[in-house]
Amino acid sequence: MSPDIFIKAAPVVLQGLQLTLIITIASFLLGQLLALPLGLARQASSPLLRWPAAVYTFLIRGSPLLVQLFIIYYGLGQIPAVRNSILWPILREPLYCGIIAISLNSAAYMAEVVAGALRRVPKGQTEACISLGISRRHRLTDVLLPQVYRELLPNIGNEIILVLKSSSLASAVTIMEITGVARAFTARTFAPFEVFITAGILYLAIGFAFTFLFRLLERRYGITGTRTPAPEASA
Amino acid sequence: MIKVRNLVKYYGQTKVLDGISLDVAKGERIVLCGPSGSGKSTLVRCINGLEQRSAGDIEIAGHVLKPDCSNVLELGGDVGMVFQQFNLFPHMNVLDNLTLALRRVRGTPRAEAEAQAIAMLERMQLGARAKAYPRELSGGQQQRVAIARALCMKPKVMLFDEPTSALDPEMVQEVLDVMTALSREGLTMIVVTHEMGFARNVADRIVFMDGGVILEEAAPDAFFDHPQHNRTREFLRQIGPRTH
Repeated sequence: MSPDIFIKAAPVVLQGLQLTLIITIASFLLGQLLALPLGLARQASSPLLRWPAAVYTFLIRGSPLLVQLFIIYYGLGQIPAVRNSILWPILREPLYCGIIAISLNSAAYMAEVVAGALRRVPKGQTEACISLGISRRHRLTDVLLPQVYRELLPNIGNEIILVLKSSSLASAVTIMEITGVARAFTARTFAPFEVFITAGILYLAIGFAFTFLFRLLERRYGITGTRTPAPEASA
Repeated sequence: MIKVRNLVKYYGQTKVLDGISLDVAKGERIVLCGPSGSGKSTLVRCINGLEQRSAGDIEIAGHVLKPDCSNVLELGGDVGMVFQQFNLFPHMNVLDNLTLALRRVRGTPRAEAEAQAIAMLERMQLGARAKAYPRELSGGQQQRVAIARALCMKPKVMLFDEPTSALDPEMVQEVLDVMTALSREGLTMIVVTHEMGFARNVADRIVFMDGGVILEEAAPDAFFDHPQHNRTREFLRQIGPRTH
């Protein structure tokens, strides 16, 4: 172990920071966006919606992300129809493939979480809406989903950490994010210990920043009275 | 105002309502009582379309309710419902709880909806709690907010499903007082309750249910002083001390 290499490794590993953040944030946002319709479909009364969503989550959750990433990046390019399609400029790029694979994955996990939270909203909430004449759409947008997402803030904060860690797999398809540059640097210095410890510390720091951000969101948007006792509760 | 004909309801194999017919005139105040499991809650939940029925016809506040309740939203707040568990929206403050349906269903502009809601809260002596969240309120206050929320829609009928059963004893009276005040305003009401004192004071008619059928219907004095049925007498004896 040499302190010199730590000092040399730091700026190198930091070069990957930007790509790691891009992959993490883009995959996280896309994943959340897809998770909502998927989660609703998992809870739908129509089997035509429920089954495809169930199959999707089964396939995605049941196979390794790295395998999915290889299928998307290496596999799809084998199909002429894909190479000739308008999607090819996207599927040709390892960065986009990484974001697609990670967000599809995150969406599958998050969809189950959203569906579970929808199931946990007390039935009385829906009944109160019906008795007031509130339409299905407004029931969802004004009553159910605001409660679901407030409850899920801790899970969502957790999910962004998982996505951050998954982003390191993108190095397997040539992307020079933190893990990617760390591997390249190791190949040159033969000092994997120092380099990967530096990378690990950087991941921890990013994860800590995300956690802190979600703590703030929870404090701001958590349902009043569920976590902190209200000062005037006995009034 | 309400017309129920031969209402039958099964939960799986169990028949919970067995041919209920009930007419409620405009302005009439009905108290529904009976032992637990007698089907009284199920009856009010069928009447406002929260439960599908197996057979029978229901007409309420000018709407003919389809058996599968697919047109339940046509009732659109004309039939107010107060639940045992309040069912306030926990992520909204009191004011937003009251204005949501006004804005979304009636299309009332926010400012106007809020003015109506505040007037309603004043009436319920809850004017100071407009910005509070449900969990910051006592049970009695929450139930009064729930009543106010239903009343904001200017319902033609109010249904109460055991409104005081989930309350601490010291809070029961404040809710009953609000309901008594409402009954004086000529609102059509059906109240499922075990509060026999309230029933005697307020009801025009008491409907006694047991085993999914209506066993007895009578004015309060006749009901309490000369019950016709053995089951009614037994029920009144069990619930006795609270009657007078």
